[in-house]
Formats: sequence, C-alpha cells, structure tokens
Amino acid sequence: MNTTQRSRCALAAGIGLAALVAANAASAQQDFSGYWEPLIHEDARYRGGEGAHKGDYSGIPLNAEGRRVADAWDPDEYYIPELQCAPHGAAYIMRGPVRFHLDYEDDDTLLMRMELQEQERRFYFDGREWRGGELEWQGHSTARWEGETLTVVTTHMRPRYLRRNGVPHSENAVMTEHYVRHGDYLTVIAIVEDPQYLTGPFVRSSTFVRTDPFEFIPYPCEPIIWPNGVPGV
Amino acid sequence: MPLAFTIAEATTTMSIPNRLLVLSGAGALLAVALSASAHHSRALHFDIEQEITREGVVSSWQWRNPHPFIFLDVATASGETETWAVELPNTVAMTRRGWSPESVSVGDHLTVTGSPGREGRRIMTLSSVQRAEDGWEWRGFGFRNND
Repeated sequence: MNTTQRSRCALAAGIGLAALVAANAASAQQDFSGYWEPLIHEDARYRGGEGAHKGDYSGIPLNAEGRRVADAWDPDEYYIPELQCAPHGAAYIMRGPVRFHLDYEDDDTLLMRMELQEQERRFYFDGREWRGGELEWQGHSTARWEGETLTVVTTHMRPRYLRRNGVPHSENAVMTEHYVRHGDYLTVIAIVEDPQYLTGPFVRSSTFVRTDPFEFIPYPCEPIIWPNGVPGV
Repeated sequence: MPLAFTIAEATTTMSIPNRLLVLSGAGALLAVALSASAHHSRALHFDIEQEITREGVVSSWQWRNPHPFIFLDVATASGETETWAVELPNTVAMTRRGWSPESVSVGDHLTVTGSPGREGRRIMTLSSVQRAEDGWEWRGFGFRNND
C-alpha cells in the first residue's frame, strides 16, 4: 500500500470512527419519556400504609442537631390548616406513591408531572441559575447527561422532611439524583447532602416501572378546620 | 437498616450498568402493590397494632384531600352519641380503588373497621366498610400487606 492509499484508508477509518462516536453520543441519552409508576419495595415499611414511627431514624445519618429537630417535631403539625395541603418536597416526593409523566417541555427542559399532589419538577439542561424569590417545595433542578445516566442536581428546596416522621432537611440541602433506565425500569438513586442536619450523604434508591398512558386523577385539596386543632378530640 | 440503603451501599463499587441490573432485578423480584399511603405516616397518629369496629350513621362525608373523612355518629352503651372521624387515603388512591363522592351519603348506616387513633382520639383508619341498606362492602387497606 502506497502513501496515498494509506492516507485514504486512514481517512476512511477516521470518518468511520467519527460516525461511530456520533452514533454512540446520540444513543447515549436514554429516552425517559412516558408514564411511570413506583414499585414501593425499597423502604416499603416507611412508605406503605404503616409509615414511619416517631423517632425511627434508621439508615439516616442524622447529626445531633438533626436528631434534636426530629425529636422535637410534633406529628399533629399535619393537621394545621396551612400545612394540610402542603405537598411532599423534592427530597421526599419520589418516595411517595407518585405516578408521573416525563417529557421534554422544550429543548432545555425535561418536565416531570406528578399525579400525586399535582406537583411538577423541571430539570433544566441549560445550566440556568435559580431565579430567586421564595423557596419552592420542588426546588431548582439542573440536569446533565453522563453517558446513559441522567444526573439532576436540586437546590433551593423549601425546608421539609426526608422521612415522614419529621426528619428534617434545610434550605441548604443539595440533592443529586441519578436516573438510570433499564428496559421498563427506571431507577432513581438520590443522594442528599445537608451538613446542617446530616453527618454525611443520605443515599436512597427508588424504582419505577413504565406503564401505559393514563389520565391523571385530580387532586383537589381543601383543608379541614378541626375545632380542637386535631381530629377526634 | 432499610433495604434501599443496603442496596445502595452494596452497589456503590459497581459500574452504573451493573448497579442498574441489581436494582432493577430487585425491583422485579420485590415489586409490591402501589402504596395506599400518601400524606402522613399512619403510625404517627394511629395505633396500627389494634383494630376496632364502629357501627353508626354517617353525619358528614368529606370527599377531599389530603384525606377524605367519614364522620360516623355512634350510639354508646350509655345512650349517648359520639362522633368518630374515619380517615381515608387520598382521593387519587380511593378513586383508583373504585370510590367516588357518591360512594357514601349522609344517613348511610355503616359498619367500619380500622385502627384507632392514638391518645384515645375518636379517629380511625378504614380497612373495611359495610353498608346495611344495600349490602355494599369494601375491603382495602391493611398495614402489613402494604395495600
């Protein structure tokens, strides 16, 4: 093979390699669009009908301040009219019985619409900064692709709980989620870091299964005003 | 230690695809029914180890979120009437299980079974209900089977 032929071969190989890389890049972004419902098997006891008991912080790396706040938390807070309709925050809601729809709202935004409590999370791919103002339950989320994994970082969450028994997170908490799809299963590995209340990262995984399209059931919320502040008294 | 924490810890040294295989495999094997719970942990407000039955007449029916309530007027042995608040899971969960605002009406004679409120509160969960007039019966939410 002469020099010209070798150059042509090298060029062809280069073009082929470039095409292969481009094809891999295109296929690297998983398609998460569609309808999903949760498989509540991780932490089933805490997430199911029984729920979390007061003082059960198993598996949560609470620091002393976090424990103090959780111990002082009053379960009857749930019956305060202003809080009855408050939704789960981003750091918990994926643990709930939440069915959701995922699709791109525009080129830079993946929108997660949740049936439960009619919440929405937006994952911004353009790196935009938090718009400021009042903190929101679902926080501000930026997203990026890491191969086939969608990584979402959520900040500026309104203080809420990590477990439904008063385990707190602060407004400085940062949640990093890795969305990984394998066939009809979508696993979300969530890592919450919050030095105010945690001694280290709090890691949980939640799995969802792809489902047929469904109509969302409305969730109108209207608090009940209990004469004595709590029901049954 | 919660299962999810254990899985996450156990897979931290694996590649993401391998982690996914483990996690989705666990999902396939351990999948359970969609939880009935949504808003608050029942264990915080109810003695879930106990189950009681109350029979009475519906004085109010509130189909709303975060929880629908049936208010049941129950005659006591001493001839007085006490009102029990029967808390249901949210309307999304109940709708999926066949309930609607028309499922119950004021004046219905119901027999309700569920877990009682803590601290002697006259509140209870709903695990089953029967209506005398038409024999309607519904059984749903236990705590041990997550449904």
